[in-house]
Amino acid sequence: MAIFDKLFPESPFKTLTVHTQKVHDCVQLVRPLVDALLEGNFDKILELHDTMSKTEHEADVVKTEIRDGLSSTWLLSVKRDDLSRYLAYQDDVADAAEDFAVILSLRKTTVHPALKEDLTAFADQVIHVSETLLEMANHLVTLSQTGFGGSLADTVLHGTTQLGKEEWKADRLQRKFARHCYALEDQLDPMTLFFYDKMCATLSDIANKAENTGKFLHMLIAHR
Amino acid sequence: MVDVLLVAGSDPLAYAGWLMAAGLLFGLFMAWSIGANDVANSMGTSVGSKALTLKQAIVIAAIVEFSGALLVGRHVSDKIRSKIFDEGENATGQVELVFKESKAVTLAPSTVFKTSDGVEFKLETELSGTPHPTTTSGRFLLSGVKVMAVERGDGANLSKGTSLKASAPVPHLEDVVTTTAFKNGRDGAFDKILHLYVYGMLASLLAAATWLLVATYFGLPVSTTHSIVGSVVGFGMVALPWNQIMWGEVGKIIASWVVSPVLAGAASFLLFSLIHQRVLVQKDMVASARKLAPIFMFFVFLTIFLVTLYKGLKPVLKPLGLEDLEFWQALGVATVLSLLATVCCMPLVRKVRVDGSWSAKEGHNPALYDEVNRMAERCKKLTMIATGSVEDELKGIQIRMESLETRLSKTKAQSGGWATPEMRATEKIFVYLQILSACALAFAHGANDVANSVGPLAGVIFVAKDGVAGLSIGINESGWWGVLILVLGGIGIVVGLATWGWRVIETIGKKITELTPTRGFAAEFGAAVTILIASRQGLPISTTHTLVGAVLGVGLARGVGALNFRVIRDIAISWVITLPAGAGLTVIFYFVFKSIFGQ
Repeated sequence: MAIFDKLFPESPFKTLTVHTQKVHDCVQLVRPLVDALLEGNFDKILELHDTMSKTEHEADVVKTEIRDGLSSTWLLSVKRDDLSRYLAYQDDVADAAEDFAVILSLRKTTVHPALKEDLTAFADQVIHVSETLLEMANHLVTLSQTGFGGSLADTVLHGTTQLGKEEWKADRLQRKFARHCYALEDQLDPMTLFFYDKMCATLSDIANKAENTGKFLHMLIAHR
Repeated sequence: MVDVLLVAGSDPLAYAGWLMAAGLLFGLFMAWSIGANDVANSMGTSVGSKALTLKQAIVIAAIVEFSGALLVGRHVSDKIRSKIFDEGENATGQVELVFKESKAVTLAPSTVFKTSDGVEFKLETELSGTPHPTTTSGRFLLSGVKVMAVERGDGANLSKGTSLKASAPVPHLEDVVTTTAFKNGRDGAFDKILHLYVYGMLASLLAAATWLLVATYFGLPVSTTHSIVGSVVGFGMVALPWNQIMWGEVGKIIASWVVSPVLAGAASFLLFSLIHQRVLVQKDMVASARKLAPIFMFFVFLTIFLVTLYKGLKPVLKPLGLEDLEFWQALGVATVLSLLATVCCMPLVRKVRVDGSWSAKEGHNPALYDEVNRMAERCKKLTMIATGSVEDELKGIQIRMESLETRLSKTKAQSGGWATPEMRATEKIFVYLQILSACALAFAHGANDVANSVGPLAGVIFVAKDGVAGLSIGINESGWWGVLILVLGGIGIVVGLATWGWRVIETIGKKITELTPTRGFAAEFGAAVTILIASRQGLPISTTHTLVGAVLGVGLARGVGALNFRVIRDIAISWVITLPAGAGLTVIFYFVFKSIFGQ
């Protein structure tokens, strides 16, 4: 019965969810990083930075595994290229999360007490965007087996649209935080302000990348 | 009452008893191999999707395979046995001797008969002795008779019911009437070398069964059908001149090997697309599934019943003296039975409820379970390699991995894999259909594959029993003997299943979890219909390859996440290896038998 051993390869979609999970693990590290920053605990930041780069590396390994495994003799329910591209989009999210950890680890910075609330709100919203993506991406396994149709496809299409809205919310929170920063520019030294700006940009980048992934997922399903 | 005394001349099959015993033994061996390897195809998916437990699957498979073998199996058996070689053209047939009085009659071989047109014929029987019918009433049937035209020196062209009168009166004999048609007969390929035919069939059985064992041991993709056809043709090639093998028939069989997977693929593609359109993309998929399931059920039942009833019961009805059903009668009865069966099964479908919830946040990621499962396996392997303190440490890890695996398997069961509650309810409805289609597939498998063991076996038995006439007796015409042989094949398959096959079912079940009930149903029903049609045409096709074709069909309809197209290459390899291997082994065994039992 050797023939059936070969007929069913390990579904790349299942391994894909492992990657999704790893990417989300990276994004979830943002919150402890922000907390450490607010506490001014630089050692903790360095430690979390290590965890982040380890997790990001693991995600990379899974990504490579999936890509290498996509044999040209496989019949997939999604185009091989599309699957690769989706992986690349998803991987960008982890990269952005790592960038955030790197920025924090570059300079010992304190956060102005007045900014704390806005920063945590912004960070939480970014994580929420990634969470929404995770939920939608996990449906990919089932969708891959049902020809990308049905109520589940509608759920995911709706979810990915929602993702755009969540990202827009994150954008708004970013702008609010930025305005608040510049309002306090007299009390902050220019380097710190510059740092805040940089931090803000990478943080919003995570949400952006997650949204891009969501958009691609949307296209993948809508075009079936 | 007729007392018949046939004085036989030299028996062409000196060791008939031994040869029959060997035939039974090899036939059972072959059937055992089939039961051990192939039955898993039909039941594997149902065990994999947890629709059936292993025990249930084995019991169901045993019953259904057996019925398939008994009811439909003979069409294919006859093809493998006799249609591959030139059978000749009714060179022999049956005549009826009509007597005036109740006295013994001696028919000398030189007796000349005349038709009303005055053309002269002689009777030749396959027994070289002279028939001595003694009778108290007026009629006696003589079979295995060849009617030769005296003038031309070859077979006669006589229609059924022609009356022949002896030109020089034979005492007490009134008339000879043909009860079968005689065509301008040509000897069949083996009419004069019966013993070689028997050796060949024995060699084919032994070779195919041996090859199956060897190939299974080395994990090569083989088909039982290809093995046996390769073996029989291989034997023909060394035993017969080239033109006495019916290459047309062989070509038809080989063409069916290409056509059947493609056909099954197309059927499954359409079936899954239908399920996709009508159920999976519907807003309320559970309600749609509830509506559609009985219709599918009806058609599965109809297929099984129709194949069984339409000419299916012949070997059972004929010895009882009952006539077969006409097509429309069979269709009518099958429709009524299917409706009844469907109505009986409806409550099962109604019972299914949507329950439970699904969420990605609960940590019920089934991929996590799969990964842990794989790591636990690797740990086990590593402990086998390692020694000393490393081994102890690895054992510790292994134990922890396994306990984690058990824990996760519980949460996996709770979350029901990836599916949403609606998906799960839909799949639950299709579980019943999958079991049903698995039965249809097992039935089809019994019908098609029992022939692989029973065909050559029937050849050995009939020839050892009836001589030349045995070459062309279909299992239908052979009465209880045919049924007995089919039953024997069925028993062999069931024993193979019980002793080894269950292991293969277990392995395959783990491999093809991808085939959830909706997909499994589409693949299995597509394959079953194709195999049944081929069986009714008497075409021996590979059930394994047909099922692979059907699964690929579902894959093309985007029903499976990933499929490996390379198996098509494996199927091609299986062709290239199996045919010559079966043929080669047969040739070796054939010459061995020839040297044991004599030229």
